[in-house]
Amino acid sequence: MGAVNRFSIPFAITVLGISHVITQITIIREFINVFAGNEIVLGVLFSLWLLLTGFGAWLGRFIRSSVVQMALFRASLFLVAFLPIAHIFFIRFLRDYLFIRGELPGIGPLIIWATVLLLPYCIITGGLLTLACSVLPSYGTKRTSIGRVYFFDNIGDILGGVLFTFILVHYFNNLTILYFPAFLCLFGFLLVDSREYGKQFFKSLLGILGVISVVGVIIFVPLEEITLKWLYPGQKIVDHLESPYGRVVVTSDHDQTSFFENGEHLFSTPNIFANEELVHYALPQLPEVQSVLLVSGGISGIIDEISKYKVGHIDYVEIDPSIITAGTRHLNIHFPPAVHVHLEDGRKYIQNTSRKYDVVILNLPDPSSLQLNRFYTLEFFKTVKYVLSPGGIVCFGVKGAENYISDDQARFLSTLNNTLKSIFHHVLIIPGERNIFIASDNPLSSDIASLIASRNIETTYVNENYLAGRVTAERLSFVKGSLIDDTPANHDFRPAAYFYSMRIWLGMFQEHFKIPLIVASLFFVMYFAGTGIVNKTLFSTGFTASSMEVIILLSYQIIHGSIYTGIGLIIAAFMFGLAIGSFSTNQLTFVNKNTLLTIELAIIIYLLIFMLIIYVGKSILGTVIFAIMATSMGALTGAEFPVAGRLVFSSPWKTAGSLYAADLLGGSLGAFVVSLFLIPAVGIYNTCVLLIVFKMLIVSGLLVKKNIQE
Amino acid sequence: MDEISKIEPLFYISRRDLIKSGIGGALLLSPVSALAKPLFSANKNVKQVTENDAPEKLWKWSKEVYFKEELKNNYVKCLTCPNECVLAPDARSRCRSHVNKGGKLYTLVYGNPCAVHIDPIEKKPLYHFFPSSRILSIATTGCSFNCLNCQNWEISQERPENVRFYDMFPDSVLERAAKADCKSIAYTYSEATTFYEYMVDTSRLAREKGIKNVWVTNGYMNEPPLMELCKSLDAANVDIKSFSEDIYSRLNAGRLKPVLRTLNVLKEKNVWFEMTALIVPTYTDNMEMVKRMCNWILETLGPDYPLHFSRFHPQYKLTHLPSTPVTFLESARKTAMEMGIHYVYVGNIPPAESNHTYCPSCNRKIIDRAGYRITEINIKNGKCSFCREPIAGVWN
Repeated sequence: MGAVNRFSIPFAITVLGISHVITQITIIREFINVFAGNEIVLGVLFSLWLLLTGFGAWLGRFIRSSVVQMALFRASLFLVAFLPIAHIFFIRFLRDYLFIRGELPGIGPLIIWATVLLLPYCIITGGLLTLACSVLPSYGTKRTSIGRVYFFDNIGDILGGVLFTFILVHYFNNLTILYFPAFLCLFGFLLVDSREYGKQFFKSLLGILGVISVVGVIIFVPLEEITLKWLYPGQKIVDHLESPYGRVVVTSDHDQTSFFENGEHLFSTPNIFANEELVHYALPQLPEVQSVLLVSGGISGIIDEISKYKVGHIDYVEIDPSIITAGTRHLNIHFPPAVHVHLEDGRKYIQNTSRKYDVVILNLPDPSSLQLNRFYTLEFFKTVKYVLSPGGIVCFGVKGAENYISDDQARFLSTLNNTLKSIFHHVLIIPGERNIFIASDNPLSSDIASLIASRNIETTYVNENYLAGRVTAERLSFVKGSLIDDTPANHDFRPAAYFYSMRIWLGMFQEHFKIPLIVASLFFVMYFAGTGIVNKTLFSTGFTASSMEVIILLSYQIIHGSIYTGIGLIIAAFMFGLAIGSFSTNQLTFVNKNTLLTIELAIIIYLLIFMLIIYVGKSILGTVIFAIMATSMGALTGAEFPVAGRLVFSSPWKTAGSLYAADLLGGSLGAFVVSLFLIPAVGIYNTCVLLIVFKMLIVSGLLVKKNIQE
Repeated sequence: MDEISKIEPLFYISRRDLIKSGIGGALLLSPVSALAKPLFSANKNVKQVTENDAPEKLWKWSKEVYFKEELKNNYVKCLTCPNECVLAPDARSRCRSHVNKGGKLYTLVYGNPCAVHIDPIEKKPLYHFFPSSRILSIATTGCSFNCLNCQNWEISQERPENVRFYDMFPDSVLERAAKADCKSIAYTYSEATTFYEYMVDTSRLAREKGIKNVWVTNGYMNEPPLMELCKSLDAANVDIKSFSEDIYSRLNAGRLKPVLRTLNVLKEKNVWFEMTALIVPTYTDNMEMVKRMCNWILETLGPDYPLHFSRFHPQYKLTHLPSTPVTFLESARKTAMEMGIHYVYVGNIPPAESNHTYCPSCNRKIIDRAGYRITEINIKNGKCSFCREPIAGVWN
């Protein structure tokens, strides 16, 4: 092994952490453009990522030779620079080959494709963590190298998260973002060999050529434009904008302009039918409409329909400024003077505004994600009612099934209906390809045609000629008859609408999940049963940490809205906590079973405090409190890894491989199970209770085990 | 150099570790491999016959399938549609509606419609068949295709045991139609070919009672059952999903040729029909394809059968495409009419001249439509009120 710069390995590990976080977020954002942006897809991707990285870390334990360890470490550092960029290419290029054009692929293909694509990067980065524990110069002991690697990796994670959230995502697209970690990794690769450049000309040349080629490509080749076309074959892209909320793509065909957000079609011009339905079923219910609040979708032409009622004041709230930019550029939108645009989260706006509205129109996608579910809950509609004038109306549309309502669809409609009925005296559902919900304390009429005629409003579709075939007494009765009274209402912390929406979405694919789920469960059960108590502890903490990250982020969004920088702050706080925790326990001179027990008990107490805070004070929780909660969970999680490393140490590679695998497998399962099953099925409070029970079982296991110490 | 590395091989794995990692890897990969087949199979959308998938006992909504062929070893072949599923004992067909019990083929969708509605006939769409009349529309589960943009996927891609349905044998269907003052019955929504026996028996009863029968279909039926159906069929709307076998395979898991044959048979049997062509961006928004389709229609069917172009909207599993540009639809209509097709309409777009009917001889507007309503009709005894040109269709 050649001479290695003393600081190069810690630097390389830190750079690896930066690369890992930035790559993870960017690649997942890219996958969302191909698949869908709901928690099922996110949960699968995060779980796979952690699972494959854990597998890579576990594989690292078989590399015993220090020569091979160092050689692989260097080579991997070089590969890690370029692999993420290659991922973007492959994701975009292969989409049209592996799937039918325009198709929404199912979960099975997602798992297969994501596994194949992520395998190289995740295996290498996982393995790098284990290798780093062996190649890190020992100015401590080999036993403590694991904790120190974990610490440096955490620092890298924090830096990567902060860099991405507060700088990169605001100014660059996915492909360009990945050039930054690429440069850092190349620099790390060069630094690792800095004493050997004179003797190892070839490696130095390789590194320099790598840097030059990356710079050349960035400057001279419009890779983003070229590769983005692969995702929209047969269409002409006229614009694309990236924001923290995703990618907006505008295509043009003849005189039609179409908008896509994260790969899914938002609308094409003319969008008359959808706009008319949402406006003209609701507004003519009132004799006069002075002020309207429109949440989202204001560039689709809906404001023109609202304006037909001579509304004096329209507040339009949109969270993603790139939507408005794209609309202004390509649809020649000029908002009339009555329209006031607010760039913020719609729920937060409603919580803070003092204005009263005659009508609140929610022009949002279905509650197909936990984030969107916030706009369809009992707690949300309570705040909507505060901003409605007496007898005011709230309306929204969700996907319907005109001719047959399945059980899941019936439950979905029922939970929304029951939620509205808890707050308003009258709820009306107008059936169609979209079911339009209208709620008010005043009586509502389903004779839409007469209402519109009496107001002399000119409409293209929503009038007696079309309604005669669509909104008939038979159809109204059909929808009403499908409702199930005992369906629970939709709550922030018990998202029933999201649960049923997810079931409907999954039902589209007719894939057989039972067997793969059973087999995957068997794998985790066998792993858990076959591993030692310290690994079990780490596994359970990984599970708890990723679960709590999801819960804290969701709770934050429920209370404060989907504010990207706020979310970034929470994630950074969690990583900061990891670093503090691992740094603290690295300083301990002696650790034993009681050290681990103390941390476990602290986690249980933390979970109890969290539940109490959320239950009692959720309406007054500020961003700082959430950041403290995230930091605390991170600190408890970070504290455990170095302790575990010292308690079960055998060799750096074997111990590190085993512990990283445990931590990441636990995290993988937590990310998957909590967002896809536990939160939708049992709600946030009960999920926390289950986590406490899990931790108490681990504590019992630790108490029973004798003789765990360095 | 590390002391251990001097004496141990560069890479080391114990037998125990190898076995553990092998089992772990196999367990991990087995769900992956179970899901792999759909990804890498040549035509992912084609549904397959499923083995050992028949219910233990047949329920009361079963009947022996009319068109089948019994094979050796208790196998049976369904002859209703060109899929011609060959079923082992206890296997289920691709459409999910037929099962082999003891060497005999049974339908599970006789008398149990899951969708029953009353619609205006223009919604089918049928513009030249008793305009302004009401039609009782029924459907069970099942479909011979697997269209990525199916509007009724909740029933077309489902099996009958998994839905809520009405108990409605053919005589009850007739009662319902009469009670609702419906001129006709439509077998629609999913794919009526898959509930053939129910459709045929109901249509025969309806014919006796003077109620008309309308088949809204993908046109994917074998000739013998089609000939039998035509004896009691009065009208049909047939989807031409594209004019390309390749696109039929990719988007619909079907074939074009049998559909064209169906149109020929309907014409031979003097069943009134209209055709619907959904224009899907990046697939069928191709004027050359539109022209080829129109050429075939003119050469084979003649100019008098109405053609409806309709606008695609993303739904079900085809959500990563835009809607169809309205201008293309209007150009397609113009092209079709210039080529000689007399009646061409564009559905589901803002009211325009493309919704009205014009006399092919004097070009005057003879039916004015606003939405699903007829506001003006200038046809008398099946002829243009202005120039006495016969107007193809079945009029009051």
